[in-house]
Amino acid sequence: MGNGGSTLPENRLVVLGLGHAGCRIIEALAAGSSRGPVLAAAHTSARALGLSGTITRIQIGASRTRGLGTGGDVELGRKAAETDRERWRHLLRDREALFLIVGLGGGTGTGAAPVVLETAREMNVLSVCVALLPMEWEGLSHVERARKTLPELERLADIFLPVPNERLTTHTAERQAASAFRESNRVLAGTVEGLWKALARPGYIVLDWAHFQRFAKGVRSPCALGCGEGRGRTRAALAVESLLNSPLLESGSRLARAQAVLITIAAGEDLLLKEIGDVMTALQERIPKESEVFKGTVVDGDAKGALRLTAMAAEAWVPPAAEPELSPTPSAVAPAAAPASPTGRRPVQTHLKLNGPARGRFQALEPTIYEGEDLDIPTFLRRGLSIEP
Amino acid sequence: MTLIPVIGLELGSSKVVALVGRMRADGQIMIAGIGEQPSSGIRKGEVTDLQQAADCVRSVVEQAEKSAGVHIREVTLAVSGGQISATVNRGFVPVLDHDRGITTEDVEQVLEIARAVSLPPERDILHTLCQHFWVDDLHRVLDPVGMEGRRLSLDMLIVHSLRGSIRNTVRTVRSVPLEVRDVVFSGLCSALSVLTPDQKQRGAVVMDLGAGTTDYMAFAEGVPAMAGTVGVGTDHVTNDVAVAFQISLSQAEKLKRESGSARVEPSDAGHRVSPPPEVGFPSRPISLRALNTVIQLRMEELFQIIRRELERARVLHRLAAGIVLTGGGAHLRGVCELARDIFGLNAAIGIPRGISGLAWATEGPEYAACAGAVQYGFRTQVKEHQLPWWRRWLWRRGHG
Repeated sequence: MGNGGSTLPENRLVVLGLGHAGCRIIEALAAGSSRGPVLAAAHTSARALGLSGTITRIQIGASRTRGLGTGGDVELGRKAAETDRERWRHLLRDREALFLIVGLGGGTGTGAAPVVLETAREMNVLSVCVALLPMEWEGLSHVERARKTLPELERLADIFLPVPNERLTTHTAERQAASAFRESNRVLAGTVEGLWKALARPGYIVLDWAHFQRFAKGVRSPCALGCGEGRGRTRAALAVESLLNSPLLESGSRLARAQAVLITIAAGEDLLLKEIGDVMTALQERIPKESEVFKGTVVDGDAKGALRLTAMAAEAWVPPAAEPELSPTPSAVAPAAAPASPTGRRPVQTHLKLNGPARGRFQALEPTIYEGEDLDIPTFLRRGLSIEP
Repeated sequence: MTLIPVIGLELGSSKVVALVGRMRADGQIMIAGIGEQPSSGIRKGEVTDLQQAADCVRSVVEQAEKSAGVHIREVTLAVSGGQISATVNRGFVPVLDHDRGITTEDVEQVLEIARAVSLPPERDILHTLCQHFWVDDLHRVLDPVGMEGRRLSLDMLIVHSLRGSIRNTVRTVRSVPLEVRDVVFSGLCSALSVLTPDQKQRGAVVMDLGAGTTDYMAFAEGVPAMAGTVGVGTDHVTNDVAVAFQISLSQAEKLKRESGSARVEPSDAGHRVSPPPEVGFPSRPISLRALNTVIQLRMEELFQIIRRELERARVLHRLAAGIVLTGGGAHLRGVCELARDIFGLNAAIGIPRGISGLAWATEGPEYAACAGAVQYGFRTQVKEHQLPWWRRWLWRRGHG
């Protein structure tokens, strides 16, 4: 019943890379796919933005840094982002979601990221923040700067995915630095790609936009990200193994502790229903029975024979309840007039926007909790189903 | 032996009902009077406003008094809510004198021990219901007195609830003022009222689909096997519909009753239904398929929860006679079919048995719990009469 739900139109999603690392990953993304969501890169350094034409380039803080970068000054990075807030507003106008990719520890990314996320929240754009954490050897000051911003990012982003750089490169430690970095960029880009494709280019199982929002709204802890890939006849099994070995999932233990997991399966036109079944069966064994599993498949023309998996695991996840800013009315549900949105945005989804508090007549009562779920909230809401009236 | 009339009282989230029962010479129970009113101050089986609820009870009891021509002083109270649940406790005693065989003293001893279960501090025992005796390895023994053996065991089903919730309900009734003779789990009442001895022997579960809660009680091999309550009822179905289509609760209630079904059917496609007009709410036509989808999701979830609980208690596979649905929710179209789908068992609507009189009051599944309370009241009266007077007095004190 969740199939045939609404997909996210590609132009409603923007992927933004902030700072040096962010810009490199956007480049990797641009190289991967022919079309897709809007890709943007932002930096204080003009040189860092010397990128291919398909990427929207945003140079911030020009008046302050004169295009020279912040030199690691986080305050400068933040001020640059604040001065150019209009650029973020412009970028986020008419968007449903922002994937923000940033490397923490330097000046631009670390300083600007909270400002961008704040703007996204203000404009009601759902935000997924992938933040690369510096390696110990990058220097204590880097590590400190990154550590200080973490709580703010977790608070401001709907889904916060901290990625310790160390983890990404564990298995490539023996390689040359340049190729190791390229590898980790590729891994990250691949994961982000898997995610937006599942939202915008659905295959057999649609990762309904409403489902994704539900996952995002319920997240209460930083998430862990993993990806895996397989080729050949046994590609489903290989992809699962590769996913479970994904360094960020800590040998699958992050999955085993997750209260909610989001999984995407991508392959070309040759994707078999059996392969989807095999993947899900294998993964279900590693995920607690009580966890909520969100899934989507992608039929991706760019796949070239590979089957790719991505997984996002949230250790703490609570089924989202009604928006707290709506006040309860005695007759449970407010009249059907759509609220005027602050940016005058027209709703994109075809399903009804819910105005009234979902717990309705049970608002003031002790909730009926069963196995962690609040049963007073309508079942169709908790299942993430959109109702076509 | 003359028995005094028994008054069954049920404080539901949708209605408060009182039934006055008289026992005829031949043992048949006759419903001599009824009082009924939409409830207020009660939600999800719990009293939320004591004053309102007490006023409601008072007026219902007055109706029943007039209707039956009796003065009502005490009631048998059917209760739900309070997270009622049940566990099986086994007690055993070594048989003292092997030569004499098992004595009544042994039986009384094992009864005491099987009853002694340790509950969390906030919980109270509602019922201790005997299941089966075991003599050594021989089980399903009904009466062990006189049998030879070394060890006598008894399985007891302990039905328990949150103390506060039940106390509030009792306090409400006492404030009317009325005396509460017995407090009975409404699932047990429904089971007493609708199940045949054959169904109890083959195994069956009664589900009382109320507005605020769903109470269930399973019998297997002739004895009570499992009991419980889920804090979800048909009010949740109405709320789901109201939220889904942004209409008022009363519009949703009417839509549900007139057009709703617990199962989406292929024939629903293309049909639209309109909620009755109401000031401030639209009367846009709604897809019947969408309406029934919302209802089915909720009812499915409810049934799946009960199914899981029955599985956990290892009772599900012992219910050859299937499911019996009672309560107002049994009127929901397609609910039997849905139950069959979810449980893989036969399902039918249950109505009060072994009871006559006011036909319209006794033929509806929504009166099963109250009618069962009346039957329970007579059972205890009969049992009491068989006891010596001082035992009766002590026993009554214990139930105070």
